[in-house]
Amino acid sequence: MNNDIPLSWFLIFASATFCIGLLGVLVRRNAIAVLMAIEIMLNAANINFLAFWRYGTPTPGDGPITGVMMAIFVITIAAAEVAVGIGLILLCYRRWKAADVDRYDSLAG
Amino acid sequence: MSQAFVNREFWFLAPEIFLTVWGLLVLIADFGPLRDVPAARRNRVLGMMSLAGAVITLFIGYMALMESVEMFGTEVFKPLALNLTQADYSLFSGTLAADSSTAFLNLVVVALLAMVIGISMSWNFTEHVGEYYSLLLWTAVAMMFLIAAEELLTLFLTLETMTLGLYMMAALEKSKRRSAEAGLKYFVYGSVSSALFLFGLSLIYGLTGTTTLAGIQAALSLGGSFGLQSNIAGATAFLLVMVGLGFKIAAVPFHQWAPDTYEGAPAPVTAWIAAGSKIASFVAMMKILLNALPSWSSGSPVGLAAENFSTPGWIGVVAVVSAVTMTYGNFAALAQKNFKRMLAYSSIAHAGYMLVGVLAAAVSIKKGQAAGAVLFYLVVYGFSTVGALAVAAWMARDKGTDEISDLNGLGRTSPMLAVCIVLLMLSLIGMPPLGGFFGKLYMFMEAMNSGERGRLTLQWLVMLGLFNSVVSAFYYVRVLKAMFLRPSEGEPLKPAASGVTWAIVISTLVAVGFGLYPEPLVETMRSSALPMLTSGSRITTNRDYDAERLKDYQKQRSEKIRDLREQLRKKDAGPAMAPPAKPGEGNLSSR
Amino acid sequence: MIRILFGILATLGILTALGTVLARNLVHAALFLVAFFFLVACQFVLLEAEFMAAMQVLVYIGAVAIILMFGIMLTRNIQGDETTGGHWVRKLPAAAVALGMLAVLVAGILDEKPLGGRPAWSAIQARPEAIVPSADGPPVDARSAAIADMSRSVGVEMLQRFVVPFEIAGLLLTAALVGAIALAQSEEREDSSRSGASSDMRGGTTMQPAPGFGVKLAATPNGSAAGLSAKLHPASDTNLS
Repeated sequence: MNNDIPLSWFLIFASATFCIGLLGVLVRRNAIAVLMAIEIMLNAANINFLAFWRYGTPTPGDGPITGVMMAIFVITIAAAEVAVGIGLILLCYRRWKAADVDRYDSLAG
Repeated sequence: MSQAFVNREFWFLAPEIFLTVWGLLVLIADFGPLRDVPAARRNRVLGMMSLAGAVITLFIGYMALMESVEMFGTEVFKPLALNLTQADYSLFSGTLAADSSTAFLNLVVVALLAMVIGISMSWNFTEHVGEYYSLLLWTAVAMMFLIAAEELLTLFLTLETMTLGLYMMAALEKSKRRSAEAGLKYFVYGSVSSALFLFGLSLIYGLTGTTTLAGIQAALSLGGSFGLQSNIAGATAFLLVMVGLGFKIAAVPFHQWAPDTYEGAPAPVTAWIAAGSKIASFVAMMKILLNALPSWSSGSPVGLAAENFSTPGWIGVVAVVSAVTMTYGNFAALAQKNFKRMLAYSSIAHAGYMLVGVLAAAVSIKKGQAAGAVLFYLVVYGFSTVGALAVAAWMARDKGTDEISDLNGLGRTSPMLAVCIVLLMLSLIGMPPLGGFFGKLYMFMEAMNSGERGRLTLQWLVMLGLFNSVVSAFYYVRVLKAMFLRPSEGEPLKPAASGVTWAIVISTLVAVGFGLYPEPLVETMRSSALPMLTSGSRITTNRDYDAERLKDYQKQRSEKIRDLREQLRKKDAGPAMAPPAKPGEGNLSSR
Repeated sequence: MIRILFGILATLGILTALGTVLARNLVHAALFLVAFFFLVACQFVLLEAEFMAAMQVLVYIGAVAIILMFGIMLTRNIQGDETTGGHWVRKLPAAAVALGMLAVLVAGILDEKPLGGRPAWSAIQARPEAIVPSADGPPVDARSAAIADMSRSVGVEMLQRFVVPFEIAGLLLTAALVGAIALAQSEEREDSSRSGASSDMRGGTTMQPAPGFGVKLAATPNGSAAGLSAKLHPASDTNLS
């Protein structure tokens, strides 16, 4: 009797959230909202990494928990990225009084 | 293996470690002793300090290079090219490489860093001087690690460290609105593309079960299938990875950030993005495409039947990207009036040319030769771009703008530097006998020489590249026209700051020197490109992993050193002496 | 049973992700995002990576979501963006791109061609068995050991194989901290003690200290303390109002 969750379920869940994040990046104009959508995409990748780690065939000579390590470092990067992003958004907000990417107009293009 | 040897792993990272610590010291100096000093003075002091750090790192890197090619006291270039393939280490269980390509490219990155620091010192554009210089040093560290990365985790982490630093540096000119906008646009495009890149990496990890480049290559070649036909997961993974890489090198569908960021960021940061980050990202791209994913390049394995060549693989995608990139970049540059914006489009176009070289390396049997040509082009392009952007810094200091028309009359006021700028522009066009010409020549030659199947595919790309070089002449010549034919309106530019002068002169020397005498550099690059792309054959310094091989290697190495010394002694005795022609063993196995 | 649990969690995860992306009110979006992070942590638990779930909660909910909240509050942009609105037809291309991407990904997952004798992704119905290691039992494989004591495995990996990435991550966080503070600092850090080239940057704006630390400023008028307190309160931006 096999009642476990198939690997493809996790992968499809990750893909779905990834595409929702992509939708958010494309639809939203507010920089903070875009940042949130990016976080969703990074989380989707992390689910993939952990699922592949748990279900996949480990390669000899490769670390035992590479997928987990990747996810940990992605979490680190995401934290740094959000800090930098908020810093930049605040900087721009002071100049334009807006957080919408469309409102910034000092450069042609 | 003995523990002593294991501990040596950290010595390979000496340049990186030193630069990291030096960045911290710069930051401490800014917040400690220099707290209440005016920003202009802090800029000078901290600039000198960073420059000293870069020079020391250059020295350490040179020592590392000497170590890695085992040249104790021999002349630099000729034996270097012959012996480079010897030292080919894999550090820290395969996360980093230490070979001649990393040692040499480290030197290039640090030399560019020193030039960028010189440009930054020419005028004071930010209040956050300490933060600026430490970020500059740390992004250089990230670039050096990125060049050495042999494994997807390290590669992604260093890529992010580099770009996060660059986002912040682009926005540090707080007195200007456009700087903030440049930083935010760069950030938004960049982090979206790296999220896509990461998802692609996660799929590759799932497909192959490993994150080392060599492991991925081995796993993919196990499948026995080539190309991406009916391999939807692989194709998706490749396309996502390509988005991330295409963003970093500013290839066309993902280039929208480049013109805005180049124009809005302060000139030294623009130079750093255009030169340093492009070199590092291109090396990472070549490693991923040519080292990890060669099985997906086309429908047939390299060197086999030509009829399968038309089946889809990443060669087709990259060829289209390359064609579109160079054409779009050049034609868009024609319309620009802003000097930095023009250079942004020209940098996009150069990414297109270099992709031709990457393709040549993918189809060619001698992939080390073709990849070496790309590296040669990258080095020449990096120096030329920094030199050109030093001019932008000069204008920004005196006029606060960077329109091409601001250069009017420069040929009269500063004739020497104007001639240097002419040479740089001609090198960027690809005029013989300058470095840019030989860069294009080697790359396009490799594309044409890459066997029958390669020639058929790449012929039209080379034609397009030549046509585009002609187009590019028109906008580069506009700069020359402004300098020599137009009278200066308003106040002419004041004499350039010494940092700017040095940057322009050094880059001109590189462009002219490697134009008149390209062999040493191109030979070095060719011989170092192969170990860069064949990580499977590295010597690991890890514990007892490959003890036998390591012993062999050490024996070889000591014999080699003895030989070299022997020959040197003979050479000192009699000048007529053949160079030590002893090509490396083991690591030259071209697939 | 566990499949039903996964179904519930996944549905909630997708709904909260959609909520984050589509909510017009940014505070609502951030709250949805917190819920989404939590549900992803639940997925990690389903994948037997409790350590990662704890990391997820600590870093994402504890730090990332809070920074985002700060950002929303400081930009006073609770009502969301103006340009996101508009007719739904204008969002159709983006929705088509996202749905197309989803279709390609799902097709890729279900149609994956395994390499070298591995099972296909779609054929893996259950995870490989994890053996619980015991003191006197036989040695277990690396994954089982990691599942049983993940923090230990992570620590070992971080100090052996991934020691350089570990250090680089430290550098990344330092750089991000240093740079983000420099960026988010308001220009009034440049107090009267620093002159010279800074005058054009300040543009002649006079410093208007926020009431919160005005007393402190008055008490130490020598300037450097003012710079310090402005540094300590990067959020106290008088330009905002």
